[in-house]
Amino acid sequence: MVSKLVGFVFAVTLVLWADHGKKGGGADQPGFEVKVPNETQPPGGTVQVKFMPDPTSLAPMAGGTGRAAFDLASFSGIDGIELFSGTGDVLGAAVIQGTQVQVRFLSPLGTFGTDANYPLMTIALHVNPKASLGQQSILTLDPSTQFINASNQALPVNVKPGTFTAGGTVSISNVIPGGGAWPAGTVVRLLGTGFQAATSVTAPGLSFSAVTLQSPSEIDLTLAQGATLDGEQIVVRNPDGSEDTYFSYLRGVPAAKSAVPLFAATWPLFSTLTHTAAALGPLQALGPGQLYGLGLQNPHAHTAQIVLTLVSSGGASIASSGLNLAFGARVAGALSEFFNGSVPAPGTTVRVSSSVPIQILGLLGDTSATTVTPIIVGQVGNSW
Amino acid sequence: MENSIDDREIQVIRAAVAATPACLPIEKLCSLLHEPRDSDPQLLAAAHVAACVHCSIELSLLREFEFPQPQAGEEAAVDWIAARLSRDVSARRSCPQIIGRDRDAGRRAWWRAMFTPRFASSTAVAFATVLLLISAILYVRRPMEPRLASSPAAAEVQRSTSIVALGPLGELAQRPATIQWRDAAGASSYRILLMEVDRTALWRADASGSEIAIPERVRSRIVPGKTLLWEVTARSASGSEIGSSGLQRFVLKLNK
Ligand SMILES: [Zn+2]
Repeated sequence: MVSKLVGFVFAVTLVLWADHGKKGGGADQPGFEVKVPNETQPPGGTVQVKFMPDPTSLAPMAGGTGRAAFDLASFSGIDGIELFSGTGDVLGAAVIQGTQVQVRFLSPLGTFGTDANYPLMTIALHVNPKASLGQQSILTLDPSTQFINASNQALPVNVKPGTFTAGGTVSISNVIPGGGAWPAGTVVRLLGTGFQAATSVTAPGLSFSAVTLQSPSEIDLTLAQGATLDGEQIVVRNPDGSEDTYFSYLRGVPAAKSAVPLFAATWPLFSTLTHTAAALGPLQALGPGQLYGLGLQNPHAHTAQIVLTLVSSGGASIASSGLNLAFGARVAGALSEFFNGSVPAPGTTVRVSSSVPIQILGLLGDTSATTVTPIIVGQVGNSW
Repeated sequence: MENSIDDREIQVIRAAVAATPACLPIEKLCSLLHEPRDSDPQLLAAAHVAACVHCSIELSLLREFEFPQPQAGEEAAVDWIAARLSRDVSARRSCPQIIGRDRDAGRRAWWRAMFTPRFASSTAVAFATVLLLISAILYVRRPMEPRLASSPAAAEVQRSTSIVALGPLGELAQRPATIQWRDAAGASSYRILLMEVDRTALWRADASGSEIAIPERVRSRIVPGKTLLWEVTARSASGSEIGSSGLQRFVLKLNK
């Protein structure tokens, strides 16, 4: 016991001295180191850009902001974006315009940035069908990208960029269902390009009882054991050596488009936490150009029957509306769009109830700055 | 750099993470972790945490410290602490040993302030080392159950019988179908409580034998990688509590 303690104290002392040395060394603020692996995918395919944490930087992060822009000669659009953490707590909002993305996010359990096995963020880019083979482009984040640590200090994010090369024969564009817990026997659809009978599929966290080639753009995987699919790594490889790695997530399909251009361009980034009852509010008085929004997504196999109720500060019900969301569907829009055009007054609260557990996210849009900030919703009642 | 757009951008997130006057003091967070959530103040506190990023992170960090994951021997635990320290000293949180004393607020401020960068002088480092030695001793000596604020003598009288927990325990390859324990002398019934690591109750049931089946709706909430706690308490024919298994834990293995 004594020797263990001595060892412990020695280790702690070393760690603290090392840390002290780093801090005392100069003006360089310690940053969060991120590495982007190189990617090779064919024109017309999809590349999932992965922002991987450097293991030496792992620490609980409370949130952050980031920007990225991708070369139009190589990419024709953004197909998806996702944030990852070990507990799935991270939530955010991304505003996407062409091949540019701006994201703001929060990690309410502080588990973002603590797991080296997951990317911090992935961005799925559609490879320009007109890209020429061998054409290259840099994959990185804007230097303005910063994280907030658990003590609410901002850290610069230092990215070691990756290189995209147009080439190879295979790519994964989507996994359906990419998230949620599913029983053995569930068929998981792997979508992409260049699949062949000889394409191998490996997933370290999953086991399959059947792998069936449906077409060059779809392989069906049958789960041998129940699994939670969020963040699972799936690798496909063709006999010519071309391969693609994909981290799965539930990419909701928009069930409706917001009439507010800012929210129409917004991708709600949901945490994996689900609710059957939640509340957004009380709403604050907003400045000019600001408006509240709401994002809903159904990760459940059954259609969600959702009721939204606007409640006054005194608890009286002012307005209500309902909508249905099928499995894998999502909506994001201004609150007024959910309540027949009337803008909820400051002090009111929006209560959301759903027949099955769904993902719910509040949004605060600023139309003049073209930004959207995520808002965590509160759980109403006990879930058991 | 100070007033650039980039800094304004990150300030939005800093503001979202910052504490507000409504935020809970550490004593409240600790009581959420260590006491049942069955009273109005507890439920109100839980509701605040659910909608507050600041308190949610504080609670999460406290939980990680109070209910650490590794159990494979003290050596591993010590290595794990060292690894965590090297990652982020400033992120460490812990509950005061005895909840509810006035000095705790001051102790917390002192503890936190020490780890802000401006205190990272050699003296502070030496000081921190001494403090960490103390916390290491406390950590290694810490019993599985956190100390209760009530009189230990009274607690001992009430809980004289200890029930032997048979399972589920530790890391499991499959979802458990039952909870089992060894019959205790004088017990006429048992109460079983299955909880999340933050002690939110998942399921409560009573049994007369030494085994109970976990209902399917509860089993479906046992997911890989998520640690759950359970406790069995024995009751006499008159209904008074005569023994407890103490907190047991298990986790379904990640299939990686
Ligand atoms: Zn708070």
